[in-house]
Amino acid sequence: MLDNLLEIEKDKIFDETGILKVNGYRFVAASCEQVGELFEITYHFDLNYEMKHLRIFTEAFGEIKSISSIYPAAFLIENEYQDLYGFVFTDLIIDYKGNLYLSRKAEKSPWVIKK
Amino acid sequence: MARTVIPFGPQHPVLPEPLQLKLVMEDDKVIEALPAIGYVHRGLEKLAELKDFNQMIYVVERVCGICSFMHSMAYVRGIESIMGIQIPDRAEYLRVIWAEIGRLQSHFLWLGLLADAFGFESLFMETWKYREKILDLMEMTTGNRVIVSANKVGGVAHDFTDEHVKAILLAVSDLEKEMHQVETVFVQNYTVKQRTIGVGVLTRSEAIEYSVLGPIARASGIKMDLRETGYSAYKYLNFETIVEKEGDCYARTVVRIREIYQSLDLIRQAVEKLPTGDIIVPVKGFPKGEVISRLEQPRGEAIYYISANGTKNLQRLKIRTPTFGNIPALLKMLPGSNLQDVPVLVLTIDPCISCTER
Amino acid sequence: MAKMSELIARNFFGKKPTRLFPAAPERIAFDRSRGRIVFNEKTCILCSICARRCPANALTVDRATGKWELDAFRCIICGECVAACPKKSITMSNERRHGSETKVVETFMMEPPKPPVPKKPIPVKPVEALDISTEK
Repeated sequence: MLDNLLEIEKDKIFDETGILKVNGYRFVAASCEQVGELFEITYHFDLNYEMKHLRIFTEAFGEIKSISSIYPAAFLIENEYQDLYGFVFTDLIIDYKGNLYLSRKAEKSPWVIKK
Repeated sequence: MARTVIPFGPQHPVLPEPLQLKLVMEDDKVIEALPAIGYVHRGLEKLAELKDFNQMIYVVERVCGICSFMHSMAYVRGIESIMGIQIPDRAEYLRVIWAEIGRLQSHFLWLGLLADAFGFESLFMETWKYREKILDLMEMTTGNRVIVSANKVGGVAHDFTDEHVKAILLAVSDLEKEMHQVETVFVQNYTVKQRTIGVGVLTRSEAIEYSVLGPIARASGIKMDLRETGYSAYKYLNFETIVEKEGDCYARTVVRIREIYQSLDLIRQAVEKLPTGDIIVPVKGFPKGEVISRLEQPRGEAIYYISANGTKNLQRLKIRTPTFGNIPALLKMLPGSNLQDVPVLVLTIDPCISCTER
Repeated sequence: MAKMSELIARNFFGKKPTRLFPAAPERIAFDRSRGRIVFNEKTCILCSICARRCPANALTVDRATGKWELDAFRCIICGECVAACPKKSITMSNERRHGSETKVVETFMMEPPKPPVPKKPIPVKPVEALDISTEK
């Protein structure tokens, strides 16, 4: 397990990110992993070289509120996960609607491991 | 006035790799910019499910063609941290020397491309002539010029002989003298100053809001360099972060030139302090657990998230490279500039698009 | 003006930093440069450890027919097979391969290992065996 990891509900991610922004944290990255039927999305933040992580769980093709209105740099990674895993992020500042990496004829959500 | 949309297309003479920016123009000024990436997406992270964790070193090196050594260094440090392996001191120093040689050749490449962006071709050729000396050092010690395959889990694969050490010290002192001539042109020439001073200003508060990394943050007054945390052998070397205040293209050029001098000094310190000993320890078993491994690449901070479940394949490998974090800053820097400044501006964030899209 | 003519004279009459290849000979490679891998078929035992370790799947080893094959266009000259071979039959040479218009595949045929001959069972002579015949 990573140090400083906090597991929270899917609906609370926007408020918790707002608290971190007020405290001066910088947004670093977001990673997504499929564990069985559930997906875990981990957001990584950093302040003075110490990291803090927030983890949420969601089912396949779920809807999550985007944090790009708090941290504008997050719009690229959320668009990438829309393409590759099929999630839907609401309130994105720039929304490519699944066309960032995939072309029109490509197979949708290619990284989801189906049984 | 009517507005037009110009595609600063994926194919452009000034860009080393394909990136598309749709620019909304009114007369000669840019009003809005929209980036579009995805032209070289290869899906390399998904290969971690097919190849075992030793073969992945060769895949991870080929994510980028410029900063290739530091990708394999970050990956190998992550696996060693999961498995609890302590590598010998000589291997740590060797990794730092090769990493700083890699940073030197990346900065020389960028200086040449910047000179080419405002049409100064003879300066471009001079800078790349000095880059050849650095690539000869890499080939003499490891066998290849850029993609070197020198890292293994548990240490490194090649060692230095006494002739290699003498050749490295000679090349470093020659390069310092030659770098003074090149620096005079970049920092004091009238044409270069007209094209770069005051162009693409990013203030300190905007840089913090858009989470920029690397030399762009350091040129806007933010003191951020991961080598200060003292990972690998950096804790034994003298090191100071370089910061400038203005935040325009001229400041970013000066930061990278001063980093070249700092890298030459770090190589000389590391070679003089090189301890004796083994270069690799034997490794048994498979990794299990999750870890975050970060280091300072020439373009900023790169972060690796590795999750392993005790078999020979990894469960998930996630790479976030520094250009991925710097592209949103273009949304702030481009509006308000003239069309003729757009190539120079895009080049000062040092775009490495094959890293961005893996 | 004087500085410029000195620069012009130095560039025109001085030593050139580039080589006029193919008129001039090619650069001599360093000792450690990785050019191609070289196979010695006399010491190979067909264990196929090299084919399992290759990251690019460039080696094919068939134990039944005795074939060892290298697809030179897939090889990335990393050196894993050189380090893995238990009999040291594969070595790294610093001569590079040049461009080719057709695919280069190197095949070597060796004697396949014979299947093990089943040994005849040794007759066992009973010594001090208990006599449990019903005759008294």
